Amino acid sequence: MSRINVLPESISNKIAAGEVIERPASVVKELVENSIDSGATRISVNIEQGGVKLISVTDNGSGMDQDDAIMCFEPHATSKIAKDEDIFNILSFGFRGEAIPSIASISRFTLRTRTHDALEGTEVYVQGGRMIKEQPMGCAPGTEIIIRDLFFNTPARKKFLRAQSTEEKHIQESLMMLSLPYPQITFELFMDGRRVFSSAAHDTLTPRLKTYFGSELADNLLPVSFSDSEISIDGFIARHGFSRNSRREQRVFVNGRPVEALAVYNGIRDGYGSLVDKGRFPPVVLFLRVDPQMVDVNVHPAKREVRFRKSRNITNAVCEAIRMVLRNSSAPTVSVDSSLSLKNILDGVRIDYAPREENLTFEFHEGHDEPRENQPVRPVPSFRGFPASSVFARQSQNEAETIKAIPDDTGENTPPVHAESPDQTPSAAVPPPDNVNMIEFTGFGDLQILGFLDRTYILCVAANGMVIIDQHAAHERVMYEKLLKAAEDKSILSQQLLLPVTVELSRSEAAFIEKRRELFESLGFDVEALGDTTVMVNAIPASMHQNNAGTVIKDMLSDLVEDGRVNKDLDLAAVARASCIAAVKAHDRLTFEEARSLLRQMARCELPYSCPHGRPTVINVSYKELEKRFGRR
Amino acid sequence: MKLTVKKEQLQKALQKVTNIIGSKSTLPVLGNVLFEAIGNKLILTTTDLEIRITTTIEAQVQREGKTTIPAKKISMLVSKFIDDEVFLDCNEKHHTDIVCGTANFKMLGLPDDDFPSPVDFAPIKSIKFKEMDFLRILDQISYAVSLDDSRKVLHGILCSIKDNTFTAVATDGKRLALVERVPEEFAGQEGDTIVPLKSAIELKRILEKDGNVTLEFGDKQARFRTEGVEIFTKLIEGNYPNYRQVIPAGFTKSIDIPVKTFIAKLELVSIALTDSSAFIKLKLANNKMEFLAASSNVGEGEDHIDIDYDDEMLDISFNPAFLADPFKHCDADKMMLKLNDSFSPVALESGDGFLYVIMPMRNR
Ligand SMILES: Nc1ncnc2c1ncn2[C@@H]1O[C@H](COP(=O)(O)OP(=O)(O)O)[C@@H](O)[C@H]1O
Ligand SMILES: [Mg+2]
Repeated sequence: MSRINVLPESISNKIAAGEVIERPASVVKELVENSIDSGATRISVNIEQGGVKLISVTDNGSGMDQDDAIMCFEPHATSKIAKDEDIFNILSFGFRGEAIPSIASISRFTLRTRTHDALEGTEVYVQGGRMIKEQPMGCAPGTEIIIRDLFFNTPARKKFLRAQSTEEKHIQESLMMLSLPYPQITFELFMDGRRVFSSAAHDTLTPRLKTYFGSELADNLLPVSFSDSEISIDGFIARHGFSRNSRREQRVFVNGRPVEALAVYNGIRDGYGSLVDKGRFPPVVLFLRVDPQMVDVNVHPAKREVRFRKSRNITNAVCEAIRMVLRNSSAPTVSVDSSLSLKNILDGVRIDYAPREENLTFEFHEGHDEPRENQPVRPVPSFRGFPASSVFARQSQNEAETIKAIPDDTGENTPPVHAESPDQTPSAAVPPPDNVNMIEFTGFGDLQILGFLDRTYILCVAANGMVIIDQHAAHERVMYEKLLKAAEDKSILSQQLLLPVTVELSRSEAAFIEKRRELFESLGFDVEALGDTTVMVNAIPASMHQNNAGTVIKDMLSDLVEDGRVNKDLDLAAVARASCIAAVKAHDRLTFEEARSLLRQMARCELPYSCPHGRPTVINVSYKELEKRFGRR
Repeated sequence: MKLTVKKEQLQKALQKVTNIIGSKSTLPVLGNVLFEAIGNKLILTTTDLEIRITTTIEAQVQREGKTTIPAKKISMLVSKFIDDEVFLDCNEKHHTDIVCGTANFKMLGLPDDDFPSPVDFAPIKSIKFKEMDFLRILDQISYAVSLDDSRKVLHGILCSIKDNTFTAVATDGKRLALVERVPEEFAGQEGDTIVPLKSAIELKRILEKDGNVTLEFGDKQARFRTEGVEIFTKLIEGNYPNYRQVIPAGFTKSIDIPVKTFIAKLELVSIALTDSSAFIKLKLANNKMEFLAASSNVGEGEDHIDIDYDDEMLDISFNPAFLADPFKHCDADKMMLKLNDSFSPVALESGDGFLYVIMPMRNR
């Protein structure tokens, strides 16, 4: 039975102006969408000369009977909408019934199609919109469409085409996008006889992601699965630490259709929050399913942009879906390229702090034997010449700090007021490297500290490799979350200054403080502008140990300044972030116990794997990686 | 230079002078100790260009002369020697033979000409203290010196003399410690000087039980002398903040605090704290001082002491370390806690000229 109807005028009027066939990729998109709609499980695309010479799309879908094979060249002919209301419930791609006639009017169009129950198929040949011939023809069930000489009768359009390679890129990208929501369909692309990709049908999307984006990214994609009463979200998001400088790799689909949707982009941004720097975009592939009524797909017919009725809800759902995943995810698996030296890798992820005064030093603590609970508590030996610190000792080391450890100097060291009883030493269960493929570790609490590198990194043993923690980035993360939480709870304590400090700032910086004083106050600062460029600091957050409140404010502002100005709309999180950076600027050495305490606090962080600026706090080097480097494998 | 010294004395002398030697000096000779044999004395000197320390010990000098010897190595060597006497003999190439018992070393030194000579120094005032007394002063306040050297003047101790009273002050901007004492002797001009923390620490190291220390101050330098040791230091230039201004003129409440019990309770309750943003709350009411501490990851604790206080109920929070410091460095049995309310500066006094002012923490 024929299925194609011609849309009544009333409906076709409701539909926005026809999508323009801009370039070969648009043809591929329209034809492949039709193939998907036809229920095909295998779609094969063949291109010659960037699509200008030939585009052919072959599928094993429903096919068309003879009537439909002719009917589909009629404008507004579609099998996909029957009633007026349907247009608001569109789930399939095509709904305008105008792709085939538009394409046929600017090319030499061959259609070969056969339904599965028919004995023979139909061939139709249309040239520049005119039907030249129509005949029965033996062919496989499904549809084959061959477009030759696209734009042959519209030379002006043809002129606008870019280099063949550009058009090829568009086609490839377009097919990749179309195929992502359909792992159960096999897609193939050939260009000038060369196989560009062939991605077999599979239960999951993972193999396709690997084929398209490489295993580096694919291995660092985390599955998302979220649903509430209005929306379901599936797909993959990059572990933080992977970001790009454009949104190109944020691939969003609504009801199976690639779209651009601001509401979703905002949700992604909020979901990653501080894990990603401004101007960086983590790659994602997200499939949203919503009630079609909630989507307005016709914002711009030639573009993929869509709007949502309740866009705030969409943003929130996406944000929540992402947060849920990131919260439970482990550190990014930085694949350590063996051609890079470890030093370079570390440098790559390092955040710059105060200049270091010494060359690389590796400090080993005496064994890994922290005092256990049942042993008498003694100061943890350290190479610094003073005992492990406690809340008190930290402040009382003025002298110890200044005194260099000389062989028999013992007298000056202030013993801690009390020794904290440290956690039980974790048993470092190191499994044989053989069955280790993943380099994830279960949590910061399980790490066993080996020592410190360059006063910057904490080296730890995890179950299946080495974990390197950037102590400053980690510290920033811990402070940042605490600070924001305390600000939320209004439980921030300020240390008032006995000697308030005045700071000289630029006009824009001082104006920012004056205007947004409440932000600073909610974080524990008490600052007031004394003039155009002078600010007085009366109190700083209790958690900041800097003695120079002026430097803190200066450091914070230099973090907030962009192009010489401070954006007045910065929010609490930005200011909190800046204050954490300022707070940990000091290049302080950690004692063993301090490092353990830092790890324990990391374990309690919501997003422990990166600093508030989105750089990683942790990298893993697996045994596998080490074996590779030592040539054991 | 050729001489014999007692091993014990040489070891002590080296300990006194080598602390300021850092590993990262660009001038190699600064890593060495200058040895000078004159008359029946051996004079050892080190410098980091900010501080210069000299100590003199007795020696049997066979041939006068000078040389420099790497500080770390000679210190290590002498501390490991077993016999009583050390024999040093330096040739014109500044190779020094060092012999102790059966041990025999040759150490390669650098010419003494390379060693920086002392700058001219003209004292404008001179103050004398018993070594013990001055050690107390430094002990009572130096923990409050700012560790942050970006605010230079706070990275030292203010030494001020006026009306025959010596005042030493240290502050990091959040709390301030001050001691006033009458010196044994004073001569010269009144005025303020700021001694770098590092020099004060070196001074502390050389002060002993008996004997006197003479503090001589010039415009930009100071010299501290005890029996056998001399420290020469640059001073911090600049104006110390007007600390008198932050000491409240009066207090409405004052409470006697038993020092030992207070610090014991403070330490006890602080066990409930872990992180650095921790604070301790004191609650004053009904002749009781309650200590309250809580942290999200450990839990909470409280205890109290009996005090003499029946004024209004008052909650006041402090950085526990700031609160503990003056008590830990206090000799007296009691301190007087003086305050007005929960957010203004609070004072602690121990009656021997010691005053501590601390800013409470405040919830906003
Ligand atoms: N590959 C195909 N397999 C089966 N039917 C097809 C195929 N391509 C097009 N059709 C039929 O042709 C009609 C017109 O296609 P098109 O012009 O793209 O409009 P639309 O897709 O919006 O319906 C479709 O509704 C469908 O019935
Ligand atoms: Mg279509």
